[in-house]
Amino acid sequence: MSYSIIFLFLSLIVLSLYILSQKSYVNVIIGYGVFSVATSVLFFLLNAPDVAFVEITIGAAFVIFIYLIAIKKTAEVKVYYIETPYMIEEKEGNLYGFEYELIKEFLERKGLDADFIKVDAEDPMSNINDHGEILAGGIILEDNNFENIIPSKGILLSKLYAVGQPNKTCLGIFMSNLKSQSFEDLDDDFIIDAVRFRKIVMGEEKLLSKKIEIIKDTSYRIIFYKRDKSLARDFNKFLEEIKSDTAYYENLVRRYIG
Amino acid sequence: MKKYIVLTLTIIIFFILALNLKVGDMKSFYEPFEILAENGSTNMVSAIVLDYRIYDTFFEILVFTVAIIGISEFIGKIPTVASDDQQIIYDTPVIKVITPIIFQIIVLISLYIAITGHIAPGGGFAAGTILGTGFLAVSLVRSTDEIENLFIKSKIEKLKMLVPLFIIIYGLLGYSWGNSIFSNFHLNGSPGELASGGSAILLNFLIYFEVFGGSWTILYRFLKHKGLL
Repeated sequence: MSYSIIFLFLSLIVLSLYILSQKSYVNVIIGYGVFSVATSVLFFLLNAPDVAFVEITIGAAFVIFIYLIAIKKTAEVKVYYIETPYMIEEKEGNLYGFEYELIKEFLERKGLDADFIKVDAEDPMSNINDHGEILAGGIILEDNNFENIIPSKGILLSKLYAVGQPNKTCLGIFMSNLKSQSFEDLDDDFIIDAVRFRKIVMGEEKLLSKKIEIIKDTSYRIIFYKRDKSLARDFNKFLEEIKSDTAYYENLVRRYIG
Repeated sequence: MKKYIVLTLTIIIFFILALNLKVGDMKSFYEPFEILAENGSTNMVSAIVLDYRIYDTFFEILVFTVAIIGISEFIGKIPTVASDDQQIIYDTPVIKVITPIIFQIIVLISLYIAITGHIAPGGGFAAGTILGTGFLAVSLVRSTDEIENLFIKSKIEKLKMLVPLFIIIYGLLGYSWGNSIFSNFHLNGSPGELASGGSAILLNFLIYFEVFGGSWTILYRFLKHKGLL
């Protein structure tokens, strides 16, 4: 047996271990394609060119295409969003905002389709209960007593303001001892975050009569379903990448939030 | 009553098979130069697949055809998805521009492989899968309606079912130029020429058409019912 045949056999073992160890579907498919090419060359060297032809077309092209079609369909991520000014909001029928841009860019890089669904229920966290579901929209997680979620790292710094004697919060801020409510219906004594506060201040002036103080610094997050560990990890990696490109990140912040 | 007849038939068939089987008698009794002189194909695999073991090939094609008929009839009954969901849009201009150009080369290569199946490596099956893959690649960049029109207009889903019939007719015609069913056509030529290898070109083309039609049907049905299976 010549050295090239031994090498090819060893590479088959290495490639199959590689395929087994991968988390991302696309990597697995590409790995399978390389495996097929190696097998095909092996067939060719072992004097079976007819089989090598079939192997290289089916293994390295046909199967890959069929699997790409299948993945493209099943990998539709449902993004539930709480409508939040500047972060993710509907303007003239189109979604717009900082988080929307970020999530869309991330999913596009991963090759996934996104399906944006608006939630306005009392308990938005109950929506996430299946693979490939994300909750977004100005979420601040103060007490993490939810079981089925993984919060991402902070995507944007924020502050929490207390207006008067707080006994409520707005939808999207999760504090265990306070009830939440849509931020447009709030009228007195509540806790609010920087972005929504800004919207209210710029819109009307009724709030200014109450005493306002900053409670603490915090940051917005995106919530993943607990079994999407790899998606959350990839998102954190993507976030680091985006933040290291300071000019791009600041430009993004300036464009949507100012 | 029916059950017992079927059961008896199965047992009889099993015993006929078991009693007629002589194990250990399957070694090749041909020498390579004998094959070359008798069949005329330089590609010995083609000589074996399309002449000496033609029954193997015929039943393989039959199995393939039945499988594809099963797929198209079974999936055809499932409701289709909305036509927006059938689209697979790749925005990369490289794929969009290059794929239609490469498709023409793929068609040429597959034709070449089918024609020269008896001289060089290749044959009907390889050529059919290559052309089917080419169509799959094009349907990734073109709109589904275009491919669908072509698919329905060409009636390939029905036509490819006739291929086993054509092979049977060819087998029966064997009585006219040989003395048994499936006897090879006498077109030996000088080995290496296109006109050699008996009926290899004809059979290769039939298999080519069958495999291409089959893989295209699978592709079309999967695209049409994407995400419902």
